[in-house]
Amino acid sequence: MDKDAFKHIEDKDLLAKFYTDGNNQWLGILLQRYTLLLLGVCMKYLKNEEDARDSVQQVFLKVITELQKYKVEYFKSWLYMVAKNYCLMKLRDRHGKIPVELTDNLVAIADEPERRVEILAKDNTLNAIAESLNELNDEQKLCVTLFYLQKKSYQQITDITGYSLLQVKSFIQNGKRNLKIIVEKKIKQR
Amino acid sequence: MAEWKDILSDEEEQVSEQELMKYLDGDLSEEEKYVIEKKMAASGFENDAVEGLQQFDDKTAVQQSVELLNKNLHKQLASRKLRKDKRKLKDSGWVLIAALIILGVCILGYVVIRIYHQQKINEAVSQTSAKNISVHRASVSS
Repeated sequence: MDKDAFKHIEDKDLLAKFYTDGNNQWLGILLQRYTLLLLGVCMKYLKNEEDARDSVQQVFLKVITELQKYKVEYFKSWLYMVAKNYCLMKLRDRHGKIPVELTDNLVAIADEPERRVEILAKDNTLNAIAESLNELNDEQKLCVTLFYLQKKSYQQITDITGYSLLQVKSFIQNGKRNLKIIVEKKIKQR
Repeated sequence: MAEWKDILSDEEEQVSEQELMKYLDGDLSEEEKYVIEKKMAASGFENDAVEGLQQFDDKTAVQQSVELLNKNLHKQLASRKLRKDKRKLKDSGWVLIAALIILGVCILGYVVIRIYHQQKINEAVSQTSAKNISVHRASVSS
């Protein structure tokens, strides 16, 4: 099926069409938008090409079945959660438990984008971000500043700091998450 | 100031498949890389995916795998649709059979009643004509 033919239709509209007429073909168009991402996510956690491919097919099956049972509001976040949870189960079957380094990343909760941007609407947020940045640890503060304020790519940050690419990514991700928590706390206190 | 807001912004801009493949091939300038990385940083999905895709030994195999997975997905969906349609036809087949049976019973009932009535009429006619004959014979003999 030609992906570009339906490019102009948003995910939520495709889902609405599926819920209206129950035609699985809408799901096909929607899911194939995420095949590459799903393959990457499954590969990240399972570290095996064959397993990753099989898992993507299993995730497809799960999604097709689940979407017929209930309505999903934020498809992309939900799909990411389904894929991560599937990998988690697979790892649990494989090892009997989940490797420690993955447990932190695998807390799969579907985010609601509306709630996340809410915080930006507040006037005093910018001051709070500037203040909170200093409360991050040195690595996170450095990587977040280089990435968001100085617009350096991951590779450039790696060259400047000497950290590995994975470390840089992790410092940015965790720094951003921690910063959000600190800012939210500060705004609530004001 | 926009940069400060960028840190907390989670407004996800979709990274296209093409952009991702170019990023994986390392076929981009630092500025172009940064644009994609910024989009990735706002989305755990894209971020995890890139990490996983970088682990593939052969990047052309990634594209082939995606094509194969999509093909299988559509095949699977088509066969599900076929099964659904067959089930629908099966269900509607039973309705049709039930309707035909009811119609058959109605027609049979109508025919039986009609025959019964016809017999009654015939009996009445034959009784009347027998009576008429005996009356006629009686009048002739007298």
